[in-house]
Amino acid sequence: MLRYLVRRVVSLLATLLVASLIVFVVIEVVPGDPASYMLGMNAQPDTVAALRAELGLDQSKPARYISWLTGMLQGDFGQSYTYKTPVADMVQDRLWISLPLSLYALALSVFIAFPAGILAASRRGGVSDTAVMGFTQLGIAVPNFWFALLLVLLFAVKLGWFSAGGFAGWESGVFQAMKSLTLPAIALALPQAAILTRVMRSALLDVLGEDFMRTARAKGLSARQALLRHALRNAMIPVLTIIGLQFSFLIAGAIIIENVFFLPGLGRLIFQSIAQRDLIVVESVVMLLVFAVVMVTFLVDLAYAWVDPRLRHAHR
Amino acid sequence: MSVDQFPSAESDHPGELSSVVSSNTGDAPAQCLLKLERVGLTIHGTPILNDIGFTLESGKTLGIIGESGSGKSMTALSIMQLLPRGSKLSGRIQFANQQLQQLPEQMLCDIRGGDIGMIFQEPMSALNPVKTIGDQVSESIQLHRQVSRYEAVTLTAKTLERVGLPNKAFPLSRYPHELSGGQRQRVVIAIAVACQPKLLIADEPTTALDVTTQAGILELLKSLQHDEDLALMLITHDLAVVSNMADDVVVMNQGSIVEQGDLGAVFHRPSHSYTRRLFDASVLTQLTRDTRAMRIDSSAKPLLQVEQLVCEYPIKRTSLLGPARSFRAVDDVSFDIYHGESVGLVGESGCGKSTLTRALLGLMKLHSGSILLNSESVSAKQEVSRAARRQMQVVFQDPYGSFNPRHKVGRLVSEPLFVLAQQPDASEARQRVHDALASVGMNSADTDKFIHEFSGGQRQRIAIARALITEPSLIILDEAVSALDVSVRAQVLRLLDTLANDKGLAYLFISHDLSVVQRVSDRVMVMRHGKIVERGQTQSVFTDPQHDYTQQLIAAAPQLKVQERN
Repeated sequence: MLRYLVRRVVSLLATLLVASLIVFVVIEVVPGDPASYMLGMNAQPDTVAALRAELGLDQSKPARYISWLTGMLQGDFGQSYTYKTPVADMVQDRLWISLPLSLYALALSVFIAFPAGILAASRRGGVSDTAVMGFTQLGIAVPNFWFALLLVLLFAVKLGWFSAGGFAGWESGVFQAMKSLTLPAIALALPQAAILTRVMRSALLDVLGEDFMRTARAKGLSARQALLRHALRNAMIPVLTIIGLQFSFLIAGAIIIENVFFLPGLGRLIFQSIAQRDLIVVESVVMLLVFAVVMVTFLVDLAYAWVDPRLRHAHR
Repeated sequence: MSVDQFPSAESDHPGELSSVVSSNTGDAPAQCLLKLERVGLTIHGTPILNDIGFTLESGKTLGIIGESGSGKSMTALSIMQLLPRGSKLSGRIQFANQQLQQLPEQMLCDIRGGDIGMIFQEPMSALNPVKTIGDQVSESIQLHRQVSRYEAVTLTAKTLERVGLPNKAFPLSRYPHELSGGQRQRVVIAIAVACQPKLLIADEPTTALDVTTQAGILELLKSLQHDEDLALMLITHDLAVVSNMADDVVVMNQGSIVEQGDLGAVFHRPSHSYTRRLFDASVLTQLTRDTRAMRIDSSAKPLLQVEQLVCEYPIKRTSLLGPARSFRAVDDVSFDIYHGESVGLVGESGCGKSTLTRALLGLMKLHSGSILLNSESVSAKQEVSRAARRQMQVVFQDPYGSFNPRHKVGRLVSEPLFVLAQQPDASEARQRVHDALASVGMNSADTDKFIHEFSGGQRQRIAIARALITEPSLIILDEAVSALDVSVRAQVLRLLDTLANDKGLAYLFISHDLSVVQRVSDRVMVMRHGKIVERGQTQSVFTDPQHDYTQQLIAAAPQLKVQERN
């Protein structure tokens, strides 16, 4: 188990290093010089040069990569070109919205998908199965921003239970903050839940056909006991994979929903920064997202090993 | 498949429940434990079982014999009341004075694993891979006994000891993947007998195991039955196993019982023609061996020469900086095969047979040594030439998995033609396919069918046709008849004989089944741990084995004991 852990950590660090290099190179080849963008079309060449020097853009590329990397390791993400504030602060504010939103949506997705998937699998071909499958079809087909608009129409405009957008802020209390994240979280969660339900169902159906399920019934377990005790854990590998992918998607891809609900999250930040050629912010946020995704993958790997003992020894 | 795939059979007479649930007090000591009367089964309207009836007493073993599809396993699942969806059961299944079809699901759960234990064919997949063996055995105990967790663990340890898995070597915290097939089957048996059932149903318990492992498991079943006065219902296709184990025998064919009775009576004087056919197919007589042995000219150049062949697989390093390690699957193996000769290669799983096959076929790199086919070298770090591939074809074990299900038979059979130096045109290719199919007894109309339209035996014939189409001199038969029923196996073996005689083919016949190897080969080699431990003329190896391991193998192979009818 320890060897498995060490292996995963080494691969995690390697992934991060490679990713940072790719992010840096990609941003470098993006057309548009931040200095000339900031100074406008009519700037004098020497003014641009001066700003470039000030921003550190005149250094060699490897040197800039190294200083960017070492800066990040020390928690210094540099200064935003546009806002002249430390990137770390900007990101931190946004993260306090995006991270809870993602977790909220993921939790909703899991809470919907597990019971629905188990129900559908255990009543295969029955009415509940058909109904669940119908809903998941709908959930996958309908885009989440449209869901979002419907939710706003119903719960904010018609019923007035929630506000139509914006973020109350954590200083107004956890309840208020979570309340303003609820509609966005539901909008994000529903399509994810639909996918996860289908994965859960098919993974369970695969396991239910396994020989050991027959052994479980033959030792006297009822169908329900056999499903919960023997099938569920075996079905977790594909489900965990999808949960990992979904969390990565939620944390990095909530941009449309954040726009619909006027939430100042990471997605919006990255969108604005690209438009403003605020490369240092883009680099840092992308790197942060990469870090988050790699961390999630790492956690999913650990969860695999927890679920399936064979993986703990797979690399012997 | 779904959870309610195993619904309880619907009860027709729920009112009779109280009368059928009575303990068997000593008033009828000769009362049989299990009694099936006129049991019929349909699944989605398709008849599966017709009018099945037999009885089984405590302390007795009932052998149920039949080929695949004969309804043996469905009979077992009917008793367990674990039938697939869409099943309709009729007749009476009486167990310990209770009529099982009338019991509610809750009581059936108590009986399953409590009074009736069941063992399955596939030990590799019959255990939950994510739970420890201790958990899986103690789950059964905790379900059926009112015991504390601690007591359950103690009982589990005892049960595992009882089935031959001492706790020192096999602690409860082991996972199934850390055990071999035979050991896993012992765990499955432990689950089945943990609650001291009255009836043990074993459905092909040793079919997937090596002969020496099989002998151990059969021994264990015998001793458990003896010690605990169990009734054992042993389902198998292997007449030899039954002849060594059973008191009474039931022979099934196509969902019906064709013959039943005392083992001696049925085996000495089988009255039904199907039973006789089954016996004839099981007893593999040496048909054309002597005539063929003479034909082989060992002064000529060998067709295949394998010299000091070594194949290795890399193993993961133990530490990051540790030395690269490898596992030697084939270790210094040398042998020759002459034109028209049939050479058998025997060994148990993991002995290196499959690696050797892969190496011969040029599917893996040789570590060292050489392979010469018709004096053309096929050696390490070298692609196998097309000419060499044409000379050597293969038939694999699994008649279901070794074909692409989306191609028609014509395309499947013609596929190896690409190795020919001169590509035949379309009409010639078609002609060749027809000829190849005809030579294995298939019809030219079969070319437009898909592989799922054929039975296992027909598929194996098609596989042989596929091998024949390049007109090879050597066919490697890798467990080619192991998945077939005895009667089909006999047919395929006869076909192989005919082909060898007609076309002068040489065979390398790889199998774990000694009786088959004995039947088909002129010479035999015994492989163990990557080495060939014994070789010689088939007759002398089987009658006078020199190596300990060969002796063990032959001793472990069950012999069909009673065969004295006239």
